[in-house]
Amino acid sequence: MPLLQAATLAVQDNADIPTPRELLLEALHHRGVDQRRRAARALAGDPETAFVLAACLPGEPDAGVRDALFAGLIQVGGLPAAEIFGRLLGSEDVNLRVGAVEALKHLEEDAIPVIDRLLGDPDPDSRMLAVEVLRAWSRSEAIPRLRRVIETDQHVNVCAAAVDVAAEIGTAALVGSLGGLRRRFAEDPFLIFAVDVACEQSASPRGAR
Amino acid sequence: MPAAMREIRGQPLTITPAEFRRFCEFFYRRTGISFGDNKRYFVDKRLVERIQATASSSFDIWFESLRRRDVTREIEQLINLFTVNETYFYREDHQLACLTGSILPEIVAGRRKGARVRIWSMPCSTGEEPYSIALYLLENWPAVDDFDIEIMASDIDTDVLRMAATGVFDSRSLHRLPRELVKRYFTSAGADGHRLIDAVRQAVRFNQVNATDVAAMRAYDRIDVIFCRNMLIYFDDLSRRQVVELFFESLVEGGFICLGHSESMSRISSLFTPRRFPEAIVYQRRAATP
Amino acid sequence: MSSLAARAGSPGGAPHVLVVDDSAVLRMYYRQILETAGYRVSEAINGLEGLEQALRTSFDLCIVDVNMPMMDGYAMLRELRRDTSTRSIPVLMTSTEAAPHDRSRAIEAGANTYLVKPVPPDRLTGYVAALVGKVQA
Repeated sequence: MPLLQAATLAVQDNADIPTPRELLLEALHHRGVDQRRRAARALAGDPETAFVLAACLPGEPDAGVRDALFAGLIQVGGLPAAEIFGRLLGSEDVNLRVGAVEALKHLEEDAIPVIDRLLGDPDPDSRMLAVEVLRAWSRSEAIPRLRRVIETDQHVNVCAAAVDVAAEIGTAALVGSLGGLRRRFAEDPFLIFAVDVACEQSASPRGAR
Repeated sequence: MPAAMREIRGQPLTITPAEFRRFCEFFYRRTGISFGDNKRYFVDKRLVERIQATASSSFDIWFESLRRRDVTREIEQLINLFTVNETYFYREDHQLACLTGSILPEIVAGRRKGARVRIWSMPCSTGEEPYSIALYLLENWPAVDDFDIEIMASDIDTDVLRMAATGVFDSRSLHRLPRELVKRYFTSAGADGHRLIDAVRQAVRFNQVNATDVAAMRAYDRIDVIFCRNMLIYFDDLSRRQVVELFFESLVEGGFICLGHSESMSRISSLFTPRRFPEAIVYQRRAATP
Repeated sequence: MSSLAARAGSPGGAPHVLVVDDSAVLRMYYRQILETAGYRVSEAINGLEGLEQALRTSFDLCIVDVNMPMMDGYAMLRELRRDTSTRSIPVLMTSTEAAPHDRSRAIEAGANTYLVKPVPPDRLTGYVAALVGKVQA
């Protein structure tokens, strides 16, 4: 019978010996993908090296290493991480933009100051991505901001992003504002469709909230 | 279509079409599991069950608690309600067919005879999966005699590991096995059911492992194929991603991982590349971009 | 080249379009437009799910957004072009980005065409018909 008798595991002797921080920082720039990824994981949550992890992101070609860098920064958490991710929303690199949105969602309401700033950014792409982050928030924080975007933003794609989030988390409190948006963009078939969906899903059959 | 009717404070609890859609989109986004309109009754019934079980006064309140990140237990309850989680021999055997028909031939191409092939079943539960792998290889892989095959099996639960090591199973566990296989590989264990013959039982090494224990996971390396079915779906996003990364690191380049039929890497990580074989879609650790 | 001739007369033979976008409302919108025009529609929420779907099912066209988590549109397109079974699927790439370099980048990556969102219904069906043929009434 070719099946081996009970396999013996190779236990890595050095599994628990911590690597000095300096070596880990060097390894972030290693030629090998596995080394870079492991170094990023090992440095996760360290506020003192957060800026280094952040600096590695723009040049990093490997998705797995990028994931580890983002995860490490999420673990740092709080406003420092939110600021880092907020800056990445303006990146030319789609992976960094999208990664930053997902990371900001993990920070939940720690990201409020950064998102509030981005919701007023002159760049509509940044505003659009900031709106998407609201999806992860409690309704008490998300709904007032969604309402403001729906009522005041001039850019169709930013409004569309807000309507998409409203379709998931909106309440009857948004229905009036959504109606106003529908009138504002009466020429846009997608906006009209989206608003109708969001209204239907937000309106409470048991009376307004 | 009959609505799922229960009462909460005298009001019948029904799920509106809009609530159904809202839930479905959320659940699909989180898990990749989708429901068509023909599943209304099936879904509504279970939603009502969960709304009641959590003492929520409405779908809206329950849904708000569901989507907040700190309440992942509720997602787990839902997944349990919506997926069938029994284990038995030759469950999802199209993946076993893929193992012998496509995966292993690719793995061993270019390997000398007598080389090692390492397969890891994690979580292994009460052992049906790793033992199924052993039986399937013996029965279906023409090259089974040409290589040294190691089958490792892990679970976080020591009770199930203990049961697995005994190699004793009831008839329900064996219901998909052809009679000849039962005769060939099992002996009677009286009222307890059937006992796997020693040669197969001893070919699987069982170990307790917590998938989030980095050191324990890193003890597994140079693995060729991992079976990780119906475990990842229960982790939160960040933990799940790290577990998958550990699996990735444990695999050889070109190694494979098989998930459960209602699972997809698309909700977890882009580390792996999907590969389509005639029998199944599985995921491969491709060589890294330098 | 239209696959319509190959499908004529076969049951459920309307061209099958995969819509890959992380916006639920947008997927609903495209579905409504395309199903009204007689196409079959499947959906995916990100590029990796889109890729898995394309490996599993033979699509006549993929409509793929750029900005998606897990695997963006460019990465999905790269993988589609890499696999022999999906190499020739026409891809209509969409994005909110309207700069000329975004369009040329998409075409260079292998997209057949590039549309800026939001896409009006007639424009969508026009491009889809151009890539896979119209559905006979």
